[in-house]
Amino acid sequence: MREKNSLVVSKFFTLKGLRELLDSQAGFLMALPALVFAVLFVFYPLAQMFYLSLFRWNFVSPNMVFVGLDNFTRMFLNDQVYLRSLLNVILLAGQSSAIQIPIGVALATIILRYRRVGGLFWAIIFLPYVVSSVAVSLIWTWMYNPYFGSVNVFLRAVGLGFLARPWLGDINTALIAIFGTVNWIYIGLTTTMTIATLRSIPPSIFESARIDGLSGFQEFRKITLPLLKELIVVLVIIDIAGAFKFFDLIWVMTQGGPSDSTHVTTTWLYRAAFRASEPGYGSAIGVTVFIFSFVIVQLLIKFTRSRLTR
Amino acid sequence: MVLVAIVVVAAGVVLLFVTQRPAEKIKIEWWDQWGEARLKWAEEMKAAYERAHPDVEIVIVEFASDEEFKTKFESAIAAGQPPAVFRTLGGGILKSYVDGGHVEDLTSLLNEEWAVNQIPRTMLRQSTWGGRHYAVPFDLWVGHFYINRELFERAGVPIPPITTTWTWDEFKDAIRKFKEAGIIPIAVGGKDKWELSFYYMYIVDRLAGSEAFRRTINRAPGYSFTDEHWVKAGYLFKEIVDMGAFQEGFIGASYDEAQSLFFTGKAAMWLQGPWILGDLYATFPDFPIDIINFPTVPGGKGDPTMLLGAVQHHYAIAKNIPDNVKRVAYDFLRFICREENVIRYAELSASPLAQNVKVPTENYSPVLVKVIDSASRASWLQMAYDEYSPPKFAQVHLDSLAGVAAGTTTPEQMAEAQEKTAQELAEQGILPLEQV
Repeated sequence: MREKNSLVVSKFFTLKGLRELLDSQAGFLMALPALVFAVLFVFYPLAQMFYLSLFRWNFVSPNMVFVGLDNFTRMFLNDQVYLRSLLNVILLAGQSSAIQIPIGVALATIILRYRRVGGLFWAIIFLPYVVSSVAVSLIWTWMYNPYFGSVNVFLRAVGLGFLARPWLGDINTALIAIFGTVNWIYIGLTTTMTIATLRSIPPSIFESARIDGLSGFQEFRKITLPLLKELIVVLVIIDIAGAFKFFDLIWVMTQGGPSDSTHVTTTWLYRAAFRASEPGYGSAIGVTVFIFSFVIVQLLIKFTRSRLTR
Repeated sequence: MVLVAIVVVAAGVVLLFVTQRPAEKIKIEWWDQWGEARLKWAEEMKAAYERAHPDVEIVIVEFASDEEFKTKFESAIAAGQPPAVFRTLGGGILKSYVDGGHVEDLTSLLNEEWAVNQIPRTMLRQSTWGGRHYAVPFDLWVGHFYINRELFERAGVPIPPITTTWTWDEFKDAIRKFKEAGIIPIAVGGKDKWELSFYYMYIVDRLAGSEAFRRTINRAPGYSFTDEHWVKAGYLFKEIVDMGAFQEGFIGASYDEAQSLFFTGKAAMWLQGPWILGDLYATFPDFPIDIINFPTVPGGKGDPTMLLGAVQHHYAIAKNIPDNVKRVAYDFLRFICREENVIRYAELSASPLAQNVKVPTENYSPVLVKVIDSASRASWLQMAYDEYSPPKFAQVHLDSLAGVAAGTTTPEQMAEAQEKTAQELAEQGILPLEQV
């Protein structure tokens, strides 16, 4: 056994041996650099998060107190804001899918139909997506300001003055105001992805539809929409995953306030871990976010596979 | 097996990049959330010290916010590479670092003759536990209502001189007059909850005296956050909220938004510290600025000369650094505390000093002279709760007060939330912070 092993090793010290090794392990070797980084920066921190979620600690103390699943029971039984933040994530994902996808598809269809002005229009609605989200958040914070902001000025100018209010300073409207900004950013992305998909559809399909005498609406319903089904599923997955990792915009615009009404799981996690110095509790929130998003995305993938391959 | 070898080699390569060769000079990292004016001072100190000590390099590291500082600092501790000299607010956060064994005990330094003469012992309160001192105080902040004199005149509100007190009824009268004149009485950035906390803390001290908070948080027998004055303070705060004393949507407004309202003459008052003056003079040099006291409250037992305030910047030394670096760090602290360097600090930062060093008053603006006079008359400086307390209590305090401001939390619920958290922290051995 021992001999055999040393034989195998010595084989690689010959040029031919080395070459054989490289050939047989080429795939693995090429993936190795990425794998090292994945282990260092993804798998290890993930494992660390699961581990930390069982402790009470404050970052700097030498003693970590093992508390078992206390962090989790506290989260689901005693932490109203955590539950609220989960609800807000669901609302965010739901409204993103329900608003951005239809509008994005509609805009894409229009842009493709009126190609001459469509390109410019497309560039304009895509612009918010390429601007840094912190800059966007700051701009919208000022636009929503009741004294200096343009949103209320606009509403008063068009005779909707009764709607004017301190958008981010009212627990009933802060979340809606944030959703408005989110949609403003991401509709451009949805539109772009739809345009790319529609362009990959052979034009002959549409031509034959027209020859067959389908109206514009029928064409959309019977041909465009079914061909977009796969894309729409992808967009819904992106919206759900995006809602679970959404952070910067809310943190800049409201920090989860007023009165904790706009927290999502990530902002609440940040506040717990870094503001209140409870990395254990923050990790526990992270664990639930990981599990929820993992399960939902798996379910969706499974669902779409069975539907799409049918 | 070969794969293992490859992984080992790869890890070795990574390590090679991570570990740096030790530098020849002794490096002193100096961490602070500097800001422009104080950064200039730091650079002058660095230049002067390096001239005198060619074997030392002072590395100034700047942070944009307290939060960034805290996160990076805690990471540096965890990585075993703390900065040699760092800024601290003292209070609950420094205490947690001291308990973790990360902060050098500076008692001997602070008992050196120059330090005994120059650094008043009362200024060490925020950084002393069990009779041991852990930081060198530099400057102070105190909270006043900064006011726009012109708007007071326009609304016909008499300005209560800084040397006198004014009552809660006069305060409410003023709010009403401002509202009638179409002026926002008070600007406040409620998104940054600490601004709201200023009101609550002042009201508690006016109601129950300056020892109330220190005793209650440190679990002195017979003290509880559910005591009557804690609830009453919540209701007095709610009273001015309900009157519309603050701008529309204040609970979602940032510090910058509140600053804009005050600087552009839309709001008459802003409860703040002297740090606002730098920005104010830079943008509106002729602003009719003045300061007044926080009003007294009906039936209050507190001394009305008490001010909200504390040491704003201390410097401390990390415990777990090499001995030669630590020796230089001590020497560097002595150097920046030399009288001429402290005076230069005051000139540049334009802030009241926490050390017994006379600064020629022509270097200060008239309002700042008023601030400093007022601070010197104060019977007590109340450190901000969110800085004094352990971080967890600080968050519960800030969040529940923001809830009271939004009308989603009652003052009773706030009092109970604070008491419950204090009890939990006491069970975990985090409270008390000091024996009272």
